[in-house]
Amino acid sequence: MEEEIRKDIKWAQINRDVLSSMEAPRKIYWVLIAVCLSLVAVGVYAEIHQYRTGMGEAQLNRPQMWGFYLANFIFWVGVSHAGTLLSAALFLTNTEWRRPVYRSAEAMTSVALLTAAIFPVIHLGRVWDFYWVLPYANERGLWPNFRSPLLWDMAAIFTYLTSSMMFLYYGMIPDLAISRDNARGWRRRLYSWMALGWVGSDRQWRNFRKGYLLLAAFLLPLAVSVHSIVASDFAMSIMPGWHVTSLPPYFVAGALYSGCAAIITLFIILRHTFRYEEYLTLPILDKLCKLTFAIAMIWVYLNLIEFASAWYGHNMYEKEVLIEKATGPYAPFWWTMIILGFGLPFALIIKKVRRNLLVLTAISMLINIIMWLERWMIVSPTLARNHEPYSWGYHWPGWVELSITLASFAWFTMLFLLFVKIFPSISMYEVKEMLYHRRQVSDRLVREPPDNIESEPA
Amino acid sequence: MTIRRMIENWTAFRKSGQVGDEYYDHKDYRWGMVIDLNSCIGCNACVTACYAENNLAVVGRERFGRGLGMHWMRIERYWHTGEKGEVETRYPEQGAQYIPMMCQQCEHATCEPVCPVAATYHTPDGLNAQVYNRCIGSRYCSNNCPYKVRYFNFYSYYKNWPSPLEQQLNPDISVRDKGVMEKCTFCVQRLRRGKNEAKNEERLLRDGEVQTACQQSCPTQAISFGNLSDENSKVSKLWQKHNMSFGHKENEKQPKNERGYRALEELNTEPSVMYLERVRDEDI
Amino acid sequence: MDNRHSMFALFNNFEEVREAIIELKVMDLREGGVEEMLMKSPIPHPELEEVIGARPVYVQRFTFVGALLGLLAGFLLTAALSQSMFSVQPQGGKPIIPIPMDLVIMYEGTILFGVLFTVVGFLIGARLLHRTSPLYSSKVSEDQVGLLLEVKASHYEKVKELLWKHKAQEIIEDEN
Repeated sequence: MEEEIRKDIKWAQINRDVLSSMEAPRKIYWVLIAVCLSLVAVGVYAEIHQYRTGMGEAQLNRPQMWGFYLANFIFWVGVSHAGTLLSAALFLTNTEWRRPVYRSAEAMTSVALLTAAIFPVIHLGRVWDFYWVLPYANERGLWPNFRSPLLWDMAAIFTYLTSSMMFLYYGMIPDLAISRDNARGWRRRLYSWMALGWVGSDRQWRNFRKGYLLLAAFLLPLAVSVHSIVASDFAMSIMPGWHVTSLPPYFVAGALYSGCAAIITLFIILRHTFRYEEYLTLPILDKLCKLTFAIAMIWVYLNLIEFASAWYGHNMYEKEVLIEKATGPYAPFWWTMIILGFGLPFALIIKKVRRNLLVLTAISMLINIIMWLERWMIVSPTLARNHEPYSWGYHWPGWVELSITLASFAWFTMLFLLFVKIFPSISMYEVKEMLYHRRQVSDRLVREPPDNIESEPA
Repeated sequence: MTIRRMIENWTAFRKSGQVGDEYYDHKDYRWGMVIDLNSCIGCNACVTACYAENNLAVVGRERFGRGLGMHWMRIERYWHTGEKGEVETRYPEQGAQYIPMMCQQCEHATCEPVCPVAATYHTPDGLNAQVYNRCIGSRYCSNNCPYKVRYFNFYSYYKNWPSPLEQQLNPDISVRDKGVMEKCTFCVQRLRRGKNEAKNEERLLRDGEVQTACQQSCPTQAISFGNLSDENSKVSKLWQKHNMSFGHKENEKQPKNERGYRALEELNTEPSVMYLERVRDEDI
Repeated sequence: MDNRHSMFALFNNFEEVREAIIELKVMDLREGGVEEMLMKSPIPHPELEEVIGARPVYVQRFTFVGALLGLLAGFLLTAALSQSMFSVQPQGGKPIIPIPMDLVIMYEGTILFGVLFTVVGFLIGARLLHRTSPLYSSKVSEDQVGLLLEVKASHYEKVKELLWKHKAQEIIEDEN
């Protein structure tokens, strides 16, 4: 395959390339940070306004009690899943091409979770009392209600945030040691502290490998369970369109789909910005696209099976919700989501598209917008048309919700920008391992060629 | 200390007596309601009375149109449709059906388990209680209510009441601020006062001694409210007559000429409110 | 008591280190003299670790204990604190201690504590918070493999010659 990483690249070169990404940034970086900060400021202003005036500013009503905030929450938790998939799942299957990519994917996971964690707080009517959902001892003996799926959410998101940050940090320790050896000033102090005295001794490596395997083994079921629990916010209710057993796997599939698309976007951006052509190679991008396609097909199937179930049974409420999605006021959004969500992955199997980075960036960003729409289409149409005809109603966003949504994207971007400048965005030691293993394999082939290959006389 | 409290709680729970699937044996009180749709004329007196009794906020025309109304008791109008689904227009006043809808105080309430901070729970009286102080406004309970009888304070409505309207507020019940969920409570403030007075006299409440605001104001006496644990109360007799009980399934056979049903019974929410179907000319 | 000298040798690749280690081990078996050997490398190398010798890893025990604790903690958190205390009154026709709902929190607790205990186990097992020997070269994080040896003073020169024979690039010494 062309454009693979050079077999004879010097390991010192790998260090230099990746460490150069953390040098003083160019002007465009500061411009981006400024733009993100201002968008976040707009969102904060909108939230303060809503805090002081009431949730009515979010254009919510009866029955539309959940609007964009829940959709955002599900979206960002979903985006975070693909990082864990790439990192933990592909580690457990010994997939070599994950090695250059997983650091930025895991960073995306943690940053997306930090973004998602905002929304359960700001969607509350009495935001200032949000800490009541935390289990803490108080003099009234009051504890939160663990029967509620929202509480399971809180437990799951907390566990996932902690675990994925631990996993990211853990995997980064050898790289932090490399950074420590080559840094000066405040960076050196930071990396020395964070690398915890890592010297690469064999004792350390042995424990490291064992611990990493165990962490990956824990993180994989965690990732699946977290989004299933988020889905049970909906699946455990009795609302038609929500009370579907396929909702947890549907959410997980959608999460992986949108997350993989986000990884493709970040892949291309990082490759271009830091000139990582040597490491974030086109064959890896190829495989990423194929993975996205496969996951997209799972998502498509789960969609179709949901429609089929609504049609097959004679549950009048389920049918009404489905008809509402397809023909009601939300129909343009729903049909866009269906057509593009089903169709765009097929673009990814065309080789020419996979090689054209500009088109790929556009497609992956579009996929993420489509998946955001999909989250909204889960929340609002069901509430629009439920059991009681007198209580049918629609929700359209106001400036408050739109600002906060935009601010969440800006917050995500800003955190990710901070990450790539402070920490190495490619795992240097894993790339070295990948090269070493490849050399070992090819060396062994040269030394002991398989029987059916003629070897040159010595 | 906490272990002692835990043991006390469990002992009290066991003593209160579990009956079958239920938590409480409802020995003393179990509130239920019967609404005769044949008598209901859709005059909205009950709605107004509820507003007055429970300090409900009048949100104004524009906000009501947006769906922010706070009418704990609401009159829903549906048009009777013919066999082919056409709206009955021959006698339009006979075509409209009114159903006063308020919190059904479901025995298996879907709103209760989903509150993250346990602001809503089931009382031994059979009421679904909403604790305003504890509510943080996650609005999951309203999303899970199939009747959509839960109302959220989207704004601080009390700030806009023109003077001297605030003089008519009922001092027995709080005024809710923004961010809190509220709903019909079967006028629990009246029930509490009545129960306390009866307890002082060492007796239980008599049938008809405490009336809910809606029942009190209905000109046709369409609403009956009382204690289902008392066999001689009016609601008890009506429930027995229409073969209605908790655990009653919709598809169970009932005598054809009886009109009693519960709203959305197939969802197994076990409402405490029975509606008596309207008698139509064609049915006789 | 012989004086102990520490020396740190850098090699270019793993094959040379392997030869050096094998010879050092053989010498140590015959005559003693090498007290402790630690290899520092930019990437892990399982085969060489076998040559160096077994160093048992105990991280998984931490993980197991952590997972069990997490399971228990999840159950206690839900059943004992919130539900048994009746601070959350009966709701929705569900039992007081609904096991299926508690299972979710127990599952998350297992994973949370498992992860945290694994990290702690790694920190303890790898002795990361210990004070390490100052003999270190940043080339180890780049591309060279280091061998940290503690030798008795009597075998000092012999070991040094051995290392040079196996094409050590650099030897850093530390008298203690």
